[in-house]
Amino acid sequence: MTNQGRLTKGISRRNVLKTSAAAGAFGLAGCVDGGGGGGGGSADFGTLGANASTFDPAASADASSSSCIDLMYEPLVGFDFDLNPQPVLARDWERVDDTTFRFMLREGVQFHNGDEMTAEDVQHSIERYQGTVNTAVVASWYDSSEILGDYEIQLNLSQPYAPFLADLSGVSIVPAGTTSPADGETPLDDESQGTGPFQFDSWSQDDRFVATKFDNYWWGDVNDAGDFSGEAPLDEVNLRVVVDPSAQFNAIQGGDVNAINQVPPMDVPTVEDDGNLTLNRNDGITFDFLIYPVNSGPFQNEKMRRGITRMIPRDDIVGDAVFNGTAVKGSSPYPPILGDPYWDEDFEQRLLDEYVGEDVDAATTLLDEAFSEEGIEAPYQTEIRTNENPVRQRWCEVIANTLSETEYFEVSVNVMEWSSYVEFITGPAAETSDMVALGWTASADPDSFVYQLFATDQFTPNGYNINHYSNEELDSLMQEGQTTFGADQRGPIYKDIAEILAQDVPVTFLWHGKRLMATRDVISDFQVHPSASADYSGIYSPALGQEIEYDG
Amino acid sequence: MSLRRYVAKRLLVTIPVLLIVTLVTFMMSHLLPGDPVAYMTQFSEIDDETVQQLRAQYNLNEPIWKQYVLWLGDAIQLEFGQSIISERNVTEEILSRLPYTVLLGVMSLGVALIISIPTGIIAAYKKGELADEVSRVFALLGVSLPNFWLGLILILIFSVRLGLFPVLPPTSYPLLSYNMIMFTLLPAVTIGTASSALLMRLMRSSMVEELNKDYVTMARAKGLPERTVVIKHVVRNSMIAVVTVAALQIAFIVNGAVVIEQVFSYPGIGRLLLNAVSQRDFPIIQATVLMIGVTIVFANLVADIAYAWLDPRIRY
Repeated sequence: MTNQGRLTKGISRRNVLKTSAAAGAFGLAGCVDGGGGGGGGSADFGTLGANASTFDPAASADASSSSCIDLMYEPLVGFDFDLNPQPVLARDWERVDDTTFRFMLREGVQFHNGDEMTAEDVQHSIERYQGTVNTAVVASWYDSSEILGDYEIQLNLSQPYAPFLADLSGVSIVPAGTTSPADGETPLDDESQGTGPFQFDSWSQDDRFVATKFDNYWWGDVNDAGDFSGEAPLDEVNLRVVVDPSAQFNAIQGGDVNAINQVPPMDVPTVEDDGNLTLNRNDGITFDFLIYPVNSGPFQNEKMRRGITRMIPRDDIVGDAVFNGTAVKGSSPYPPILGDPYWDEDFEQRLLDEYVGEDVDAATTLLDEAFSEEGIEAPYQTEIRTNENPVRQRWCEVIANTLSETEYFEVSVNVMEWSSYVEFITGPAAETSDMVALGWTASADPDSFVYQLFATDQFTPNGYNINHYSNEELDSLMQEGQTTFGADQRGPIYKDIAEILAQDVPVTFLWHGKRLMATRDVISDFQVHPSASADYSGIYSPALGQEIEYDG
Repeated sequence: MSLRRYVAKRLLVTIPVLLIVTLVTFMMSHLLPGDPVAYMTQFSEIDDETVQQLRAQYNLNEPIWKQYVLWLGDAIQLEFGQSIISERNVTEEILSRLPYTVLLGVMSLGVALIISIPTGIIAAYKKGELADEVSRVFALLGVSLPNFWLGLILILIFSVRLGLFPVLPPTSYPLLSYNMIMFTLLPAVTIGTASSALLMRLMRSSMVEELNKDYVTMARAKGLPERTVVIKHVVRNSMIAVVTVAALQIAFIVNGAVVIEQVFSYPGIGRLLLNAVSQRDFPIIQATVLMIGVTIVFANLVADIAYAWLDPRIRY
C-alpha cells in the first residue's frame, strides 16, 4: 500500500506514463459488445497498466510495482477495503504516549525463505527505508526502536505524528540482513523475501508477472482461519502488462484475463450489461484538481479563481460528459471513504453552496469584480496544462469550452507528454500564468490530502506545492493536524483546513475518482481496494477481511 | 564490377549512413526535455548530490558531442551498455525481444506478398475489368486505413466477437508454437495489408507494361500456352521492380511494428523502443535505432542482389 501522497495521471504516475504513450493515439476501441469465447489456452488472472519497475518494496514508486509487491509482502498494520486500520503482522499495538508505540507481533509467521519473523526483522525493515526513494514513509517520524522481546518492539517517534500508522502501513517487513536499495543492491528483484501469500516466480518486461502460492503462509497457523482459508485460493497469479485500457477491456471480453484494473469510464455501461462480467467498485483516495497560478497576474485575485471555479460544470462532467458516474463530485480534498469526522455530505454541500459550487450568476459577479480590480480586458487568454491522459484531456476540454463560451475567457488546453509535464509541474509551473490540471493519490490519513500540496515548506521541487501557495493560518492548522491524535480531535481541524481552501481557492477540488475493476464470472466476491497500489489484494488478504472464490 | 566488389562497396557506404542515423537520433533524443535520471527520480525525495552522482555515472553531465563519441566508442566494440532505467544489459534486452519482432516482420512480409502478387497479376491480366476495379478499391483502402485502427478493428471482430484468436499474445508458449504463430497472424495482417496495397499496384503496372511488349506478342504468336507466357516470362520480368520495393517495405514494416506491437500488447522491439523514448532511456533508444538502421540498410542491399539474380542482364 502506498502511503505518501502522490501525483497521478488518473491511475498512478508511472503507470499512466506508459498508458499515455498509447492511449492518446489508440484509445478508440471498446464500443462493441463482447462475444466471449477466448482463443484457447487458460486465462491469465489479471492486468497491469504498465511495466513494474522493481519488486523491492523500498524501491517501488509506481502502482504496477506496488500492486505486484502487495501480493508478496505485508506490513505490520494495513488498511482494509473500507480504509480502517487492521492488524496484519502485528497482533496488536498500544500508544504508550504521543511519541512511543509498542507493537506485539504475531508468532509463527514465516518468511518466504523459511525463517520466522521476529522483532529484529521489523526493526531492520523500518531502517531499510532510510535513504531510499521511499524514505518519506519513515522520515517524518522514525527516531529509534527498542526490541523488547522476540515478538515485541517499541517505536520511538521523533515527534508526535498522527499520520504515523498510515505511513507504517507502507513499510513491508523483510528478513533482517536484506540489503537496502539505498546501497545500490536489489536482490528482491529476482526473489521475494516477504511474508505474503504469494512468492515471486518470474517477470518479463512488457509481458507478464507471475507469482506462485506460498505454501507456508501464516494465516492458517497463527489464526484459526475463521471465515478465510489458511492459504491463497489459487496456485498462481499471472498478471499481463496491457498498457491501453481499451486493450485491457478487449482482453477481458475475449476471455484472455479474468480481471482488469483499468476500466475506461465510457465502457462502464458495456461491462454492466455483459452477463459474464462483474464491475467491482469502491471509493478511491484520489482527487482531480485544477491549480491556479496564485502568484501571477489576475490569478492573484481570489475572486478570479473563485469565479472560474463557480463556472465549472462538475455535475455534467461526473455524469454523462466524461465519467459516467465513476467519480463523485467534491468540494473538499477529502473523499467520502475517509468518512466521519472528515467527510460528511452536509459539510460538502455547504462548501459548494457558499464557495465553490457551480453558480453562473455568482461567477459572473465575481469575474466582473476581478476583471475591474485587476484592470484586465475580456476576453482573457490563458491555458490549461495537462498530460496525455484521455479522460483528463476530456474534462480539461469541457472546462476550457465552458470558460471560453463566456465573454471573459479564451482558454486552450495544452496537452504535454508525461516527462515534460512532470518537469513543468515540479519546476516552472510556479512561475507561469497557466492553470494546471492534475490528479493526486493520497493515503488513509487526511494529512496526505493537503500537507504536501499546500504547506509553505512543501514548495516544489522539495514538495508538491506546485503553485507555491502560502497561508500561515493553513500552515499552523496542518501542523496541528499532524500532531493531534484521535479522529474526534482531528476532524474539526481538517474541516477548518477544507473551509480555508474553499474560501481561498488556490486550487479547485473537482471530484474523487472511484476505483473500478472488472472481473469475469470465474471470480466471485472480489473487492477493489481504495488504493490503486493494492489492486490485487482483492484476491486474498485475510487480515484485511478479503478472499475471492475462484472457479477457474 | 563484380558482384563481390559491388557488395563490398555498398557495405562501405553503409558506415557513413549509420553514423548519420545514430548521430541524428542521439541529438534528437537529447533535445527532448528531461533525461533518464529525471525520470528515475521524479517524485522521489532524493537530494541534488545523488542526482548529480547518477548523472555523472551515465556521463549525462558531459557535452552532447562527447556523450556521442563515448557511446560510439563502445558501440564500435558492440558494447551497448546497460539500460539506465532497468539496469539490464541492452544487448540482452534487445536480443530477448528480437525474435518476436522478426517473426512479426517475416509474417507481415509474407502476408503482403501472398496478397499482392496474385492480385496484382490478376488485375493486370484483367485490366479494366471488374477484378481490376475491385483490387484498385482494396488497394486504396489498404493504403489509407490507419494501421492501428485496422488492428483494433481486427481484434474486436476476430478476437473479441468471434473468439478465433486470443486478444493477448499467448507468451507462455514458445515463439514458434502454433499458438504464438496463430496469434501473430492478426498483427501481421494489419501491417501486411498496407504494404500489400502498394506492392499490388506496382505488380499490376509493371506487368501491364510487360504484357504490351513485343516479346509477349512473339511468344503468343509462337503458340506458347498462355499460362507459360504469363507465368514464365511476364511475371518473372515484372517481379524486378516488385522485389526492390518489397525490400524497401521492410523499413515500412519495422515502423509499423512500433505502433502495432503496442496495439496487440506484443513484446517486441517496437514496444521496447516506445518505452525507452518515454523514459529517455538513451542506451536503449540508440541501440534499437542502430539495429533498425542496420536492418534497413541490409534489406536494400539484399534487394540489389536479388535484382541481379532476377535479371541476368544486370551486372554491377
